[in-house]
Amino acid sequence: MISWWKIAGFILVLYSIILGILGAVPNLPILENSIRNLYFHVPMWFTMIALLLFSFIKSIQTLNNKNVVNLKFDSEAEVYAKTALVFGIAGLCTGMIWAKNTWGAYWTNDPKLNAAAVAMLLYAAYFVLRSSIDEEEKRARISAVFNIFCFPIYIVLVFILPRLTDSLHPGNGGNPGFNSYDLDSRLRMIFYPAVLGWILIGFWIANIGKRIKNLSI
Amino acid sequence: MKFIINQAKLDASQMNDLFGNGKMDVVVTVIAIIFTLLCGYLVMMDLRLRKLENKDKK
Repeated sequence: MISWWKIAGFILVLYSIILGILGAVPNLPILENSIRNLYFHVPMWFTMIALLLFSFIKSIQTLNNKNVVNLKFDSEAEVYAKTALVFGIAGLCTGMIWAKNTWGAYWTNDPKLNAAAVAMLLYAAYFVLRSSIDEEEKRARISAVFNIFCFPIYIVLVFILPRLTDSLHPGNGGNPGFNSYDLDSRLRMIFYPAVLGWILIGFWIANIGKRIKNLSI
Repeated sequence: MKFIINQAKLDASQMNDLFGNGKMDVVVTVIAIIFTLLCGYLVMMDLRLRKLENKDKK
């Protein structure tokens, strides 16, 4: 039997795909029909953050015991971070397509874009670090410390710094957020299920990765 | 499911030419099929892993 939350994830994402493309959206200047990408681009980042939060928690659990490093939690932290990176790449790709259609270029000098790229590289460095250490316990300890520092830096880079300067993103640098456009809540009816659905799918993928790792150990 | 399709068709009828000629229905169908296949692959992996885990326990 497949767990209920996995089925729920599938149904919610399928719902968001069907109504996200065919459903009515507010007719906004510049954005026009590209606003539909809100149902795909933003949930990718939300899923990435949720997975990174779990990776962060697992890294703390790895170092929880003063004398013994918990290797099981360490491998789980790696799986969550790996899955998060996949969603981050999907978020970047969907964002680039959206940027091309609304801002005129795939990549602009927007602080949020650059910060997101730096944050992704930070997690890429986490995997480089892991692969550079052979000794299991040492690798678990050092990479857990790195991961614990990575997550707050990621939050600062993606959520705090872009709000302090001018940014093209809605809700940043004095721009109004999407909630000010969405007067009849049409976007919310699809956006919230899409976020929840993609998060569940993300955890499903991570769960499979975790179980494969446990079997190989 | 019927409610979703009806709602989608209702909304689509209010849209411009892009949605009026039925091309978007094809796009949605193709994306939905690809997503369903991906989830099918996840289900297959899930069930295979469960079998292996049960074997491992024994």
